[in-house]
Amino acid sequence: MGDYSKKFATKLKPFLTDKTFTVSEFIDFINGLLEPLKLCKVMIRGEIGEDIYVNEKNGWVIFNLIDQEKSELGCFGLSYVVDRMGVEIRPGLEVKITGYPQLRKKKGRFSFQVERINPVGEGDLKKQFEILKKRLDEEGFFDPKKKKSIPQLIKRVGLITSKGSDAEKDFLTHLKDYGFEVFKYSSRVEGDAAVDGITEGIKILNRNYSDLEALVITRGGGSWESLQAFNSEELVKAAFASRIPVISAIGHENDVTLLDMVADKRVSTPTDAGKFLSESWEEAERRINDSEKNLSASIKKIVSQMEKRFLEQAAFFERRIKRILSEKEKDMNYFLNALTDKIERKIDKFHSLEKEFESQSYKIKIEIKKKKEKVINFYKDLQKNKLRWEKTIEKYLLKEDEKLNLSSPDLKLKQGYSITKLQGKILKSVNDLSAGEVIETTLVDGVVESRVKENEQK
Amino acid sequence: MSKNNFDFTKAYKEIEEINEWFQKEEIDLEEALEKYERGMELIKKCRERLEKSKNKFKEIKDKYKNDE
Repeated sequence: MGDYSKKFATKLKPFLTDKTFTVSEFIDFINGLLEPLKLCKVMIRGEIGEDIYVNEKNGWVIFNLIDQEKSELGCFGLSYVVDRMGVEIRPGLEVKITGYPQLRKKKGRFSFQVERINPVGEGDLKKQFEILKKRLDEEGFFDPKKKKSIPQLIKRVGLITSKGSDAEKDFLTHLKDYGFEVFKYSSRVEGDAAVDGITEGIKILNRNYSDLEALVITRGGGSWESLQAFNSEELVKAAFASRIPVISAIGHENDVTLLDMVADKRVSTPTDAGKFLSESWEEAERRINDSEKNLSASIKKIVSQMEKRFLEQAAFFERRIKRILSEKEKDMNYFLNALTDKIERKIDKFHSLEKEFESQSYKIKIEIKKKKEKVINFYKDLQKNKLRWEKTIEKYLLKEDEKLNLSSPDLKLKQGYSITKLQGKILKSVNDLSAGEVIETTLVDGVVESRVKENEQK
Repeated sequence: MSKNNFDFTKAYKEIEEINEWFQKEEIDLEEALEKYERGMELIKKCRERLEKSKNKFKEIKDKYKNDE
């Protein structure tokens, strides 16, 4: 500490030489010197002093922190910070405060700015725990309906724990090799620094690694006091706000922490967390092995069933075809019988027609024979009686000749008749003639030409 | 490269679906053979994925820790 002060003084000296501050400048300068403590945060343990001033209107509290050496530290805290403690602030209450020192410009008083205040005594811690639990429960932080489900077959996991701790080793040992990608965020897991560390871890992982499927917050078992970080309101709220499902694995089965209550899944130990994440993979591996067996068995069963069905079908078809064939055969026989029957009837008819024809043709033959004989006989008779036939015909001819001679015009002319013609045509009427025309009259022994004097109709 | 793209969860789900499908009463042989082949292929891939999967670790540093 002494060396550090000397080094620091050496650095400051050139700046301070011939420098005169105004009051404001000096207070700013002092606060500047205190700045590293603001960044780091300071934790102080002590007892609340007698005088506590609560400014309800502006929402702040002033109190003194004292110790056995009667040292006093003026503290300033906003009301909500003090209320968050869960236990009512009272003189004599043993607490741990976190914050930073500051020289206040008004009145130039040195005071400690309280950012977190926690009781220290076990009784008060328990009391604080119960009050906080009740309030957070009422505010719905532990509502089972608001819990996110932890996906199966997780690959990407966030891990918040103390680097190199037994908890980390136990978790990683029991996280079986299923290709997990573990994003480790190292944080203190005990004391007030743990609250900041873990809360920050939850926020960073959510912000920068939002594709993580689960976030494991773990540490080994310990005393009730050592687990207080996991009972802090800030941590509960950060875990509740996490979009990545949170798995709490605080190795303390008997005492449930508030983180366990807000977490989406609680397991007892770091080992259990590793086992829990591996479980669904082990199950998948088992089921995949079973599936192989089941699929093979199923396909064998189906094939044999199909085979059986095919054989049954084939037998059925065979029976059916046989039946159809026998039916067709029957039909065919029936048809053949009917056809034979018909043909036989036709043949019979043909035979009877043939017979009839034969008998008819015989009759015709006889008839022809008779006609033929008649003609032959007539011809024979004709030859035999030739002379008689000739005389008869001659007599007949003479008779006819005589008839012809009697009607001849020459005979008429001989008997005194004449034939009168005009220009070669035989005249039959006086009307065919006119006076002065020349007519020709044929007599038996010659022709006379004469001129018509007059014609008179009878 | 293709191994990295293999989605185990999806494949596992499909295997489960195929298993379920085989529990049906009426099964078409051709479809069954197709499903069987697909199932076996997925099982093989899932096995490969399970056998070759070593866990990987990465340390996350926050800005304060980087300053250390």
